[in-house]
Amino acid sequence: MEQTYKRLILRHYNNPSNKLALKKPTKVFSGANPFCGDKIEIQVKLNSAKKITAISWSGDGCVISQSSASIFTEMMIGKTLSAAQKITSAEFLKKLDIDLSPSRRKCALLPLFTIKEIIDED
Amino acid sequence: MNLKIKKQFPIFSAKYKNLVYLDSAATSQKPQVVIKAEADWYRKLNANIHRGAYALAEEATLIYEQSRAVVANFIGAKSAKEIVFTSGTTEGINLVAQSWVKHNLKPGDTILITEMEHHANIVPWQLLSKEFGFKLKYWPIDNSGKLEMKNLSQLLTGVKFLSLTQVSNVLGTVNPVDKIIAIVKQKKIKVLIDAAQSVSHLNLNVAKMKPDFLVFSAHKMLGPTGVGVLYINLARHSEMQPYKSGGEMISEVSWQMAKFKKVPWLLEAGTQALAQVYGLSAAIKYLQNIGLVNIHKHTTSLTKYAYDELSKIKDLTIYGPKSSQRLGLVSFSAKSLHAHDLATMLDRQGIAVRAGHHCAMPLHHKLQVSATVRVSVSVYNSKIDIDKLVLALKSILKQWNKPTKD
Repeated sequence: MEQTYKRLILRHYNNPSNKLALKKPTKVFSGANPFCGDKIEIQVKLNSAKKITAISWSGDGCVISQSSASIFTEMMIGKTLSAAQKITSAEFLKKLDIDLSPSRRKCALLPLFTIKEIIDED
Repeated sequence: MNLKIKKQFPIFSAKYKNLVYLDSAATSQKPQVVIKAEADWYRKLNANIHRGAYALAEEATLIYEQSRAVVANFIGAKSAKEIVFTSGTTEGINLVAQSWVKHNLKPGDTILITEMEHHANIVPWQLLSKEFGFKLKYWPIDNSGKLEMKNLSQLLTGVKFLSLTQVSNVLGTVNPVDKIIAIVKQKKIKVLIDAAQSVSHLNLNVAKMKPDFLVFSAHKMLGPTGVGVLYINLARHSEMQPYKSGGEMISEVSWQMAKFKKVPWLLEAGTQALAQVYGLSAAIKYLQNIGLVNIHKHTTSLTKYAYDELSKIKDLTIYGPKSSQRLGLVSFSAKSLHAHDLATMLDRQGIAVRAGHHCAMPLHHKLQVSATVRVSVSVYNSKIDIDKLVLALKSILKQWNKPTKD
Protein backbone atom coordinates (compact mmCIF):
# COMPACT_ATOMS: atom_id res chain seq x y z
CA MET A 1 0.00 0.00 0.00
CA GLU A 2 2.77 2.42 0.98
CA GLN A 3 5.95 2.62 3.06
CA THR A 4 4.24 2.55 6.47
CA TYR A 5 2.01 -0.37 5.68
CA LYS A 6 4.43 -2.67 3.94
CA ARG A 7 4.23 -6.43 3.68
CA LEU A 8 6.02 -7.41 6.88
CA ILE A 9 3.88 -5.09 8.98
CA LEU A 10 0.67 -6.29 7.40
CA ARG A 11 1.69 -9.92 7.83
CA HIS A 12 2.10 -9.37 11.57
CA TYR A 13 -1.11 -7.37 11.79
CA ASN A 14 -3.20 -10.01 10.05
CA ASN A 15 -1.50 -12.95 11.69
CA PRO A 16 0.05 -11.75 14.94
CA SER A 17 2.58 -13.83 16.85
CA ASN A 18 2.19 -14.54 20.57
CA LYS A 19 -1.32 -13.13 20.80
CA LEU A 20 -2.65 -15.66 23.27
CA ALA A 21 -2.93 -15.92 27.04
CA LEU A 22 -0.20 -17.62 29.10
CA LYS A 23 -1.42 -20.01 31.77
CA LYS A 24 0.75 -18.89 34.68
CA PRO A 25 2.69 -15.78 33.73
CA THR A 26 5.51 -14.71 36.05
CA LYS A 27 4.85 -11.05 35.36
CA VAL A 28 2.20 -8.98 33.63
CA PHE A 29 2.76 -5.50 32.18
CA SER A 30 0.01 -3.14 31.07
CA GLY A 31 0.51 -0.05 28.99
CA ALA A 32 -1.58 2.58 27.28
CA ASN A 33 -0.94 5.22 24.69
CA PRO A 34 -2.46 8.45 26.00
CA PHE A 35 -2.42 9.89 22.49
CA CYS A 36 -5.02 7.46 21.14
CA GLY A 37 -6.21 5.39 24.08
CA ASP A 38 -4.81 2.11 22.74
CA LYS A 39 -4.10 -0.42 25.47
CA ILE A 40 -1.84 -3.44 25.57
CA GLU A 41 -0.98 -6.15 28.07
CA ILE A 42 2.20 -8.24 27.91
CA GLN A 43 2.63 -11.43 29.94
CA VAL A 44 6.02 -13.10 30.41
CA LYS A 45 7.16 -16.36 31.88
CA LEU A 46 10.68 -16.22 33.33
CA ASN A 47 12.97 -19.09 34.21
CA SER A 48 15.28 -19.15 37.26
CA ALA A 49 17.89 -17.18 35.31
CA LYS A 50 15.24 -14.45 34.68
CA LYS A 51 15.22 -15.29 30.99
CA ILE A 52 11.97 -14.93 29.07
CA THR A 53 10.88 -18.44 28.13
CA ALA A 54 7.39 -17.55 27.00
CA ILE A 55 5.65 -14.30 26.15
CA SER A 56 2.19 -13.27 25.11
CA TRP A 57 0.28 -10.08 24.53
CA SER A 58 -3.26 -8.83 24.14
CA GLY A 59 -4.84 -5.55 23.11
CA ASP A 60 -6.69 -3.67 20.42
CA GLY A 61 -5.26 -0.89 18.40
CA CYS A 62 -3.99 0.41 15.11
CA VAL A 63 -2.02 -1.56 12.55
CA ILE A 64 1.25 -0.07 13.78
CA SER A 65 0.81 -0.89 17.48
CA GLN A 66 -0.53 -4.39 16.81
CA SER A 67 2.15 -5.43 14.36
CA SER A 68 4.78 -3.83 16.55
CA ALA A 69 3.63 -5.91 19.54
CA SER A 70 3.83 -9.03 17.41
CA ILE A 71 7.36 -8.27 16.22
CA PHE A 72 8.47 -7.07 19.65
CA THR A 73 7.34 -10.21 21.46
CA GLU A 74 9.08 -12.39 18.86
CA MET A 75 12.31 -10.56 19.67
CA MET A 76 11.98 -11.14 23.40
CA ILE A 77 12.22 -14.92 23.64
CA GLY A 78 15.51 -15.96 25.23
CA LYS A 79 16.38 -12.46 26.45
CA THR A 80 16.57 -11.69 30.16
CA LEU A 81 13.90 -9.30 31.33
CA SER A 82 16.47 -6.68 32.27
CA ALA A 83 18.10 -6.93 28.83
CA ALA A 84 14.67 -6.51 27.25
CA GLN A 85 14.05 -3.45 29.35
CA LYS A 86 17.35 -1.94 28.24
CA ILE A 87 16.42 -1.88 24.55
CA THR A 88 16.31 1.72 23.41
CA SER A 89 13.56 3.26 21.31
CA ALA A 90 16.04 3.86 18.50
CA GLU A 91 17.18 0.23 18.47
CA PHE A 92 13.64 -1.07 18.30
CA LEU A 93 12.52 1.40 15.63
CA LYS A 94 15.50 0.40 13.53
CA LYS A 95 14.42 -3.20 13.79
CA LEU A 96 10.88 -2.30 12.69
CA ASP A 97 12.26 -0.27 9.81
CA ILE A 98 9.14 1.63 8.89
CA ASP A 99 8.56 5.22 8.01
CA LEU A 100 6.79 6.83 10.98
CA SER A 101 5.84 10.38 11.89
CA PRO A 102 6.67 11.44 15.48
CA SER A 103 3.09 10.89 16.66
CA ARG A 104 2.85 7.45 15.08
CA ARG A 105 6.22 6.49 16.60
CA LYS A 106 4.36 6.26 19.92
CA CYS A 107 2.10 3.56 18.44
CA ALA A 108 5.15 1.51 17.46
CA LEU A 109 6.87 2.01 20.81
CA LEU A 110 3.88 1.05 22.96
CA PRO A 111 5.02 -2.59 23.55
CA LEU A 112 8.56 -1.45 24.42
CA PHE A 113 7.29 1.26 26.78
CA THR A 114 4.95 -1.28 28.34
CA ILE A 115 7.68 -3.73 29.24
CA LYS A 116 9.88 -0.85 30.43
CA GLU A 117 6.97 0.40 32.54
CA ILE A 118 7.30 3.93 31.23
CA ILE A 119 4.69 6.04 29.48
CA ASP A 120 6.98 8.10 27.32
CA GLU A 121 10.53 8.45 26.01
CA ASP A 122 13.14 7.90 28.75
CA MET B 1 -17.45 32.66 -1.03
CA ASN B 2 -14.76 30.20 0.02
CA LEU B 3 -12.25 30.15 -2.83
CA LYS B 4 -11.77 33.90 -2.56
CA ILE B 5 -11.56 33.52 1.20
CA LYS B 6 -9.03 30.70 1.01
CA LYS B 7 -6.64 33.07 -0.81
CA GLN B 8 -6.64 35.28 2.30
CA PHE B 9 -4.97 32.50 4.32
CA PRO B 10 -1.23 32.50 3.55
CA ILE B 11 -0.72 28.91 4.73
CA PHE B 12 -2.57 27.73 1.63
CA SER B 13 -0.15 29.46 -0.71
CA ALA B 14 3.17 28.26 0.74
CA LYS B 15 4.55 24.77 1.34
CA TYR B 16 1.11 23.34 2.11
CA LYS B 17 -0.73 24.97 -0.76
CA ASN B 18 -2.49 21.78 -1.80
CA LEU B 19 -3.38 20.77 1.73
CA VAL B 20 -6.96 19.77 2.40
CA TYR B 21 -7.23 21.08 5.95
CA LEU B 22 -10.07 19.47 7.84
CA ASP B 23 -8.91 19.98 11.43
CA SER B 24 -10.21 23.45 12.27
CA ALA B 25 -11.88 22.16 15.44
CA ALA B 26 -8.35 21.61 16.78
CA THR B 27 -7.12 24.97 15.56
CA SER B 28 -8.12 27.16 12.66
CA GLN B 29 -5.76 28.67 10.11
CA LYS B 30 -5.14 32.43 10.22
CA PRO B 31 -6.02 35.05 7.61
CA GLN B 32 -3.42 37.59 6.50
CA VAL B 33 -5.15 40.39 8.45
CA VAL B 34 -4.62 38.54 11.74
CA ILE B 35 -0.98 37.76 11.00
CA LYS B 36 -0.48 41.39 10.00
CA ALA B 37 -2.18 42.72 13.14
CA GLU B 38 0.13 40.72 15.40
CA ALA B 39 3.17 41.97 13.52
CA ASP B 40 1.78 45.51 13.51
CA TRP B 41 1.52 45.48 17.27
CA TYR B 42 5.27 44.93 17.49
CA ARG B 43 6.05 47.27 14.60
CA LYS B 44 3.88 50.20 15.58
CA LEU B 45 2.24 49.86 18.99
CA ASN B 46 4.39 47.89 21.39
CA ALA B 47 4.61 49.24 24.93
CA ASN B 48 3.37 47.81 28.19
CA ILE B 49 -0.17 48.82 28.99
CA HIS B 50 -1.65 50.56 32.03
CA ARG B 51 1.66 52.22 32.85
CA GLY B 52 4.11 54.57 31.27
CA ALA B 53 3.18 58.21 30.97
CA TYR B 54 4.16 58.51 27.36
CA ALA B 55 2.18 58.61 24.17
CA LEU B 56 3.14 55.12 22.93
CA ALA B 57 2.07 53.41 26.19
CA GLU B 58 -1.13 55.44 26.27
CA GLU B 59 -1.93 54.37 22.74
CA ALA B 60 -1.11 50.71 23.50
CA THR B 61 -3.42 50.83 26.53
CA LEU B 62 -6.19 52.44 24.52
CA ILE B 63 -5.96 49.83 21.75
CA TYR B 64 -5.88 46.95 24.26
CA GLU B 65 -8.99 48.27 26.00
CA GLN B 66 -10.65 48.86 22.63
CA SER B 67 -10.06 45.19 21.85
CA ARG B 68 -11.99 44.37 25.00
CA ALA B 69 -14.89 46.40 23.63
CA VAL B 70 -14.60 44.64 20.25
CA VAL B 71 -14.95 41.27 22.02
CA ALA B 72 -17.87 42.52 24.13
CA ASN B 73 -19.68 43.70 21.03
CA PHE B 74 -18.91 40.42 19.24
CA ILE B 75 -20.61 38.25 21.87
CA GLY B 76 -23.34 40.71 22.76
CA ALA B 77 -22.06 41.55 26.26
CA LYS B 78 -23.59 44.56 27.98
CA SER B 79 -20.27 45.94 29.13
CA ALA B 80 -16.62 45.60 28.14
CA LYS B 81 -15.94 45.00 31.83
CA GLU B 82 -17.50 41.58 31.43
CA ILE B 83 -14.58 40.52 29.21
CA VAL B 84 -11.44 39.02 30.79
CA PHE B 85 -8.53 38.02 28.57
CA THR B 86 -7.08 34.60 29.38
CA SER B 87 -4.62 32.29 27.66
CA GLY B 88 -7.49 30.22 26.26
CA THR B 89 -10.53 28.09 27.05
CA THR B 90 -8.61 25.82 29.43
CA GLU B 91 -7.39 28.72 31.53
CA GLY B 92 -10.85 30.29 31.49
CA ILE B 93 -12.37 27.14 33.02
CA ASN B 94 -9.57 26.80 35.58
CA LEU B 95 -10.01 30.45 36.49
CA VAL B 96 -13.72 30.02 37.19
CA ALA B 97 -12.94 26.91 39.26
CA GLN B 98 -10.36 28.74 41.38
CA SER B 99 -11.84 32.24 41.56
CA TRP B 100 -15.52 31.51 41.91
CA VAL B 101 -16.58 27.87 42.35
CA LYS B 102 -14.28 26.94 45.21
CA HIS B 103 -15.32 30.06 47.17
CA ASN B 104 -19.05 29.74 46.58
CA LEU B 105 -19.79 26.03 46.94
CA LYS B 106 -19.82 24.11 50.22
CA PRO B 107 -18.52 20.57 50.78
CA GLY B 108 -21.20 18.14 49.57
CA ASP B 109 -22.53 20.55 46.92
CA THR B 110 -22.72 19.11 43.41
CA ILE B 111 -20.96 20.24 40.25
CA LEU B 112 -22.73 18.98 37.13
CA ILE B 113 -20.97 18.49 33.81
CA THR B 114 -22.04 16.48 30.76
CA GLU B 115 -20.78 13.22 29.29
CA MET B 116 -19.71 15.05 26.15
CA GLU B 117 -17.19 17.44 27.71
CA HIS B 118 -13.61 17.94 26.60
CA HIS B 119 -10.97 16.99 29.20
CA ALA B 120 -10.55 20.73 29.87
CA ASN B 121 -14.08 20.76 31.23
CA ILE B 122 -13.69 17.53 33.22
CA VAL B 123 -10.32 17.46 34.94
CA PRO B 124 -10.45 20.90 36.66
CA TRP B 125 -13.73 19.82 38.31
CA GLN B 126 -12.32 16.44 39.34
CA LEU B 127 -9.36 18.11 41.05
CA LEU B 128 -11.50 20.79 42.66
CA SER B 129 -14.05 18.25 43.92
CA LYS B 130 -11.31 16.10 45.40
CA GLU B 131 -9.72 19.06 47.16
CA PHE B 132 -12.91 20.68 48.49
CA GLY B 133 -15.30 17.74 48.90
CA PHE B 134 -17.72 18.66 46.10
CA LYS B 135 -19.66 15.95 44.28
CA LEU B 136 -19.09 15.62 40.54
CA LYS B 137 -22.04 14.38 38.54
CA TYR B 138 -22.48 13.72 34.82
CA TRP B 139 -25.42 14.70 32.65
CA PRO B 140 -25.97 11.61 30.45
CA ILE B 141 -26.27 11.64 26.67
CA ASP B 142 -28.70 9.47 24.72
CA ASN B 143 -27.92 7.07 21.88
CA SER B 144 -28.01 9.84 19.29
CA GLY B 145 -25.38 11.85 21.17
CA LYS B 146 -27.75 14.47 22.55
CA LEU B 147 -28.23 15.44 26.20
CA GLU B 148 -30.89 13.37 27.93
CA MET B 149 -33.64 15.93 28.65
CA LYS B 150 -35.85 13.62 30.72
CA ASN B 151 -35.87 13.52 34.56
CA LEU B 152 -34.22 16.91 34.78
CA SER B 153 -35.49 17.72 38.25
CA GLN B 154 -33.86 14.56 39.62
CA LEU B 155 -30.67 15.31 37.71
CA LEU B 156 -30.48 18.86 39.05
CA THR B 157 -31.06 17.98 42.70
CA GLY B 158 -28.21 19.25 44.85
CA VAL B 159 -26.51 20.89 41.89
CA LYS B 160 -25.01 24.32 42.54
CA PHE B 161 -22.90 24.71 39.44
CA LEU B 162 -23.26 23.50 35.85
CA SER B 163 -20.49 23.56 33.25
CA LEU B 164 -21.30 22.46 29.73
CA THR B 165 -20.19 22.79 26.17
CA GLN B 166 -22.33 24.54 23.60
CA VAL B 167 -21.09 22.29 20.79
CA SER B 168 -19.43 18.90 21.36
CA ASN B 169 -15.91 18.66 19.93
CA VAL B 170 -16.45 14.96 19.19
CA LEU B 171 -20.10 14.57 18.26
CA GLY B 172 -20.77 18.03 16.85
CA THR B 173 -23.98 18.10 18.91
CA VAL B 174 -25.40 21.59 19.42
CA ASN B 175 -26.75 21.76 22.97
CA PRO B 176 -29.86 23.90 23.60
CA VAL B 177 -27.95 26.15 26.01
CA ASP B 178 -30.52 28.99 26.09
CA LYS B 179 -33.21 26.56 27.19
CA ILE B 180 -30.92 24.80 29.68
CA ILE B 181 -29.81 28.07 31.26
CA ALA B 182 -33.43 29.19 31.63
CA ILE B 183 -34.26 25.92 33.42
CA VAL B 184 -31.28 25.85 35.80
CA LYS B 185 -31.59 29.56 36.64
CA GLN B 186 -34.91 28.78 38.31
CA LYS B 187 -32.99 26.47 40.63
CA LYS B 188 -30.34 29.13 41.29
CA ILE B 189 -27.67 27.01 39.61
CA LYS B 190 -24.79 29.03 38.17
CA VAL B 191 -23.64 28.15 34.66
CA LEU B 192 -20.43 28.13 32.64
CA ILE B 193 -20.69 27.69 28.87
CA ASP B 194 -17.71 26.32 26.93
CA ALA B 195 -18.05 28.07 23.57
CA ALA B 196 -14.70 26.93 22.16
CA GLN B 197 -16.30 24.97 19.32
CA SER B 198 -19.27 27.25 18.68
CA VAL B 199 -17.79 30.75 18.73
CA SER B 200 -16.55 30.79 15.13
CA HIS B 201 -19.73 29.24 13.72
CA LEU B 202 -22.63 31.16 15.20
CA ASN B 203 -23.72 34.49 16.52
CA LEU B 204 -23.27 34.44 20.29
CA ASN B 205 -25.43 36.70 22.36
CA VAL B 206 -24.62 36.46 26.06
CA ALA B 207 -27.14 39.15 27.00
CA LYS B 208 -29.84 36.86 25.63
CA MET B 209 -28.29 33.55 26.68
CA LYS B 210 -27.54 34.81 30.20
CA PRO B 211 -24.76 32.46 31.31
CA ASP B 212 -22.78 33.38 34.42
CA PHE B 213 -19.55 32.54 32.65
CA LEU B 214 -18.63 31.77 29.05
CA VAL B 215 -15.21 30.83 27.68
CA PHE B 216 -13.54 30.45 24.30
CA SER B 217 -10.13 30.50 22.62
CA ALA B 218 -8.96 32.87 19.89
CA HIS B 219 -7.06 30.21 17.98
CA LYS B 220 -10.17 28.25 17.01
CA MET B 221 -11.76 31.38 15.51
CA LEU B 222 -9.02 32.43 13.07
CA GLY B 223 -7.16 34.33 15.81
CA PRO B 224 -3.75 33.84 17.45
CA THR B 225 -2.77 31.08 19.86
CA GLY B 226 -2.11 31.98 23.49
CA VAL B 227 -5.14 34.16 24.06
CA GLY B 228 -8.75 33.50 24.96
CA VAL B 229 -11.76 35.11 26.52
CA LEU B 230 -13.68 34.63 29.73
CA TYR B 231 -17.02 36.41 29.87
CA ILE B 232 -18.21 37.07 33.42
CA ASN B 233 -21.75 38.26 33.93
CA LEU B 234 -21.81 41.55 35.90
CA ALA B 235 -23.94 39.79 38.53
CA ARG B 236 -20.93 37.64 39.49
CA HIS B 237 -18.31 40.40 39.60
CA SER B 238 -18.43 41.14 43.32
CA GLU B 239 -17.97 37.42 44.10
CA MET B 240 -14.79 36.93 42.10
CA GLN B 241 -11.60 36.27 44.05
CA PRO B 242 -8.06 36.77 42.71
CA TYR B 243 -6.70 34.06 40.41
CA LYS B 244 -3.06 34.66 39.54
CA SER B 245 -1.65 37.42 41.67
CA GLY B 246 1.02 39.99 40.99
CA GLY B 247 1.38 43.18 39.06
CA GLU B 248 -1.48 44.96 37.32
CA MET B 249 -4.26 43.32 39.34
CA ILE B 250 -3.69 45.47 42.42
CA SER B 251 -4.65 48.99 43.29
CA GLU B 252 -2.36 49.31 46.30
CA VAL B 253 0.27 47.09 47.93
CA SER B 254 1.91 47.44 51.34
CA TRP B 255 4.37 45.08 53.07
CA GLN B 256 1.66 42.85 54.50
CA MET B 257 -1.40 43.33 52.33
CA ALA B 258 -2.81 44.39 48.99
CA LYS B 259 -5.94 45.99 47.67
CA PHE B 260 -7.22 44.70 44.40
CA LYS B 261 -8.59 46.16 41.23
CA LYS B 262 -12.05 45.27 40.02
CA VAL B 263 -12.97 42.69 37.38
CA PRO B 264 -11.73 42.39 34.64
CA TRP B 265 -8.34 43.80 35.72
CA LEU B 266 -8.43 41.79 38.97
CA LEU B 267 -8.08 38.66 36.86
CA GLU B 268 -5.38 39.89 34.48
CA ALA B 269 -2.20 39.70 36.54
CA GLY B 270 1.13 40.32 34.83
CA THR B 271 1.74 41.49 31.31
CA GLN B 272 -0.94 40.15 29.01
CA ALA B 273 -0.59 38.68 25.51
CA LEU B 274 -0.82 42.17 24.02
CA ALA B 275 -0.03 41.41 20.39
CA GLN B 276 -2.33 38.40 20.48
CA VAL B 277 -5.22 40.40 21.93
CA TYR B 278 -4.75 42.82 19.05
CA GLY B 279 -4.69 39.84 16.66
CA LEU B 280 -7.90 38.52 18.22
CA SER B 281 -9.64 41.81 17.62
CA ALA B 282 -8.51 41.65 13.97
CA ALA B 283 -9.92 38.09 13.73
CA ILE B 284 -13.26 39.25 15.10
CA LYS B 285 -13.43 42.09 12.60
CA TYR B 286 -12.59 39.62 9.83
CA LEU B 287 -15.38 37.25 10.94
CA GLN B 288 -17.83 40.14 11.23
CA ASN B 289 -16.88 41.31 7.77
CA ILE B 290 -17.85 37.97 6.27
CA GLY B 291 -20.83 37.90 8.61
CA LEU B 292 -21.54 35.25 11.23
CA VAL B 293 -24.85 34.47 9.54
CA ASN B 294 -23.06 33.71 6.27
CA ILE B 295 -20.42 31.67 8.08
CA HIS B 296 -23.07 29.67 9.88
CA LYS B 297 -24.85 28.98 6.61
CA HIS B 298 -21.61 27.93 4.95
CA THR B 299 -20.25 25.63 7.67
CA THR B 300 -23.65 24.07 8.39
CA SER B 301 -24.22 23.21 4.76
CA LEU B 302 -20.67 21.89 4.45
CA THR B 303 -21.10 19.77 7.59
CA LYS B 304 -24.33 18.39 6.20
CA TYR B 305 -22.66 17.63 2.89
CA ALA B 306 -19.80 15.83 4.66
CA TYR B 307 -22.25 13.90 6.83
CA ASP B 308 -24.34 12.84 3.84
CA GLU B 309 -21.37 11.83 1.71
CA LEU B 310 -19.63 9.93 4.54
CA SER B 311 -22.91 8.15 5.35
CA LYS B 312 -22.80 6.63 1.87
CA ILE B 313 -19.55 4.81 2.64
CA LYS B 314 -20.61 1.40 3.90
CA ASP B 315 -17.61 0.64 6.06
CA LEU B 316 -17.98 3.78 8.23
CA THR B 317 -19.81 4.38 11.50
CA ILE B 318 -20.67 8.04 12.17
CA TYR B 319 -21.07 9.20 15.78
CA GLY B 320 -23.48 11.79 17.07
CA PRO B 321 -26.76 13.32 15.95
CA LYS B 322 -28.12 13.71 12.44
CA SER B 323 -26.73 16.46 10.28
CA SER B 324 -29.39 19.06 11.10
CA GLN B 325 -28.51 18.98 14.81
CA ARG B 326 -24.75 19.34 14.55
CA LEU B 327 -22.27 22.05 13.81
CA GLY B 328 -18.89 22.10 12.12
CA LEU B 329 -17.72 18.52 12.42
CA VAL B 330 -18.29 14.84 11.78
CA SER B 331 -16.53 11.99 13.63
CA PHE B 332 -16.46 8.44 12.37
CA SER B 333 -14.64 5.13 12.53
CA ALA B 334 -14.09 2.40 9.97
CA LYS B 335 -14.85 -1.24 10.66
CA SER B 336 -11.69 -2.60 9.19
CA LEU B 337 -9.13 0.07 9.95
CA HIS B 338 -8.07 1.92 13.11
CA ALA B 339 -8.58 5.71 13.11
CA HIS B 340 -4.86 6.41 13.30
CA ASP B 341 -4.05 4.25 10.32
CA LEU B 342 -6.81 5.94 8.39
CA ALA B 343 -5.47 9.39 9.33
CA THR B 344 -1.93 8.42 8.33
CA MET B 345 -3.15 7.17 4.96
CA LEU B 346 -5.23 10.31 4.40
CA ASP B 347 -2.23 12.42 5.32
CA ARG B 348 -0.20 10.69 2.59
CA GLN B 349 -2.84 12.02 0.19
CA GLY B 350 -2.57 15.56 1.55
CA ILE B 351 -5.66 15.46 3.75
CA ALA B 352 -5.33 16.62 7.36
CA VAL B 353 -7.86 15.13 9.79
CA ARG B 354 -7.74 14.50 13.51
CA ALA B 355 -7.58 10.94 14.82
CA GLY B 356 -7.79 9.85 18.43
CA HIS B 357 -10.03 10.51 21.37
CA HIS B 358 -10.04 14.31 20.81
CA CYS B 359 -9.41 14.94 24.51
CA ALA B 360 -12.63 13.14 25.42
CA MET B 361 -11.61 9.69 26.65
CA PRO B 362 -14.67 9.00 28.86
CA LEU B 363 -16.98 9.79 25.93
CA HIS B 364 -15.09 7.43 23.62
CA HIS B 365 -15.37 4.79 26.31
CA LYS B 366 -19.14 5.30 26.33
CA LEU B 367 -19.26 5.13 22.53
CA GLN B 368 -17.23 1.90 22.82
CA VAL B 369 -14.65 3.00 20.31
CA SER B 370 -11.00 3.62 21.16
CA ALA B 371 -10.44 6.31 18.59
CA THR B 372 -12.35 8.14 15.88
CA VAL B 373 -11.45 10.22 12.85
CA ARG B 374 -12.77 13.76 13.05
CA VAL B 375 -13.39 16.00 10.07
CA SER B 376 -14.05 19.66 10.88
CA VAL B 377 -14.62 22.66 8.65
CA SER B 378 -14.19 26.41 8.62
CA VAL B 379 -14.67 29.39 6.30
CA TYR B 380 -11.86 28.38 3.95
CA ASN B 381 -13.21 24.88 3.26
CA SER B 382 -15.40 23.98 0.33
CA LYS B 383 -17.22 20.99 -1.10
CA ILE B 384 -14.09 20.28 -3.11
CA ASP B 385 -12.30 19.41 0.16
CA ILE B 386 -15.05 17.02 1.18
CA ASP B 387 -15.08 15.42 -2.27
CA LYS B 388 -11.33 14.85 -2.05
CA LEU B 389 -11.73 13.32 1.41
CA VAL B 390 -14.51 10.98 0.30
CA LEU B 391 -12.63 9.90 -2.80
CA ALA B 392 -9.48 9.20 -0.76
CA LEU B 393 -11.41 7.30 1.90
CA LYS B 394 -13.09 5.12 -0.69
CA SER B 395 -9.83 4.25 -2.37
CA ILE B 396 -8.04 3.55 0.94
CA LEU B 397 -10.81 1.28 2.19
CA LYS B 398 -11.13 -0.47 -1.14
CA GLN B 399 -7.44 -1.24 -1.24
CA TRP B 400 -7.34 -2.19 2.43
CA ASN B 401 -10.27 -4.55 2.20
CA LYS B 402 -8.85 -6.41 -0.80
CA PRO B 403 -8.83 -10.06 0.26
CA THR B 404 -5.24 -11.09 -0.51
CA LYS B 405 -2.89 -9.78 2.14
CA ASP B 406 -0.55 -12.70 2.71
